[in-house]
Amino acid sequence: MTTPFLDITTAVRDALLVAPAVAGGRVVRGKATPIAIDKASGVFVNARQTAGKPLDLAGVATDWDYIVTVGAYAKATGTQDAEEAVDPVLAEVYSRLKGMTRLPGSLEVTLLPRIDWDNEMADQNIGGAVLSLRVRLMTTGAALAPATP
Amino acid sequence: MPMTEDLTVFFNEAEHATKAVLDNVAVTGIFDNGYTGAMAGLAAATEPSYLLPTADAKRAVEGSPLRIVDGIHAGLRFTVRTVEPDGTGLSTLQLQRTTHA
Repeated sequence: MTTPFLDITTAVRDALLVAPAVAGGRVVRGKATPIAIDKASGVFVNARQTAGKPLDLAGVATDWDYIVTVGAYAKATGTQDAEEAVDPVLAEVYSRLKGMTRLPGSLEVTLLPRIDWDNEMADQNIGGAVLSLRVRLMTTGAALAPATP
Repeated sequence: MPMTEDLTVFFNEAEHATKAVLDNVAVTGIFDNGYTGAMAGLAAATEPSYLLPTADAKRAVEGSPLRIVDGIHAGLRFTVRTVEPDGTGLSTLQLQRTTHA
């Protein structure tokens, strides 16, 4: 049995891998495997933070606010700068995430109106843009079983 | 009498030195292109640099072209992104690739 937290990041990753997959299919969850030296882009899906509040005195049911980050990274070609490099990957990832209205076991999914940018120079310019999904869900019991209101 | 160091010993072509053309001028220096894990390790890349006598790097500025002309990297072209004199008579040019290996 898996918790809804894992089911949700699995669903996000799988949605990004639906053909044609974003970043040439280099979408990983829960791994810091670097984008290979000969590959141009990659996407990293990660559970980031979960805040919950108990819904009953016994603390059996919990309402969770779950943040999942989706980071798009790309290396420049030619004279591109980092922002130009990551722009098409960001656009594709944003479009996929924006279309997600439900995830397994979730009550509500919101693509937060915030992008965290990053860039670095190496042999090429490398750009990063990290999006965040806020997922509201409920669990019950000690096994974190998904629940509905 | 001030001490003058003979830097040519560091740039022996029979050992580590590599010939290049910097801003259309032939130079000899040490080319390095080691691995780096950019973006906190999320993107594998290399960090090319070229170490040469500061006297040979005086005209180099951001955007100056550098082409490797011998060794296993012959033909690779780069642009200078920073010029870093170390104060001892040597400078490191941090490079960005303009052609692929």
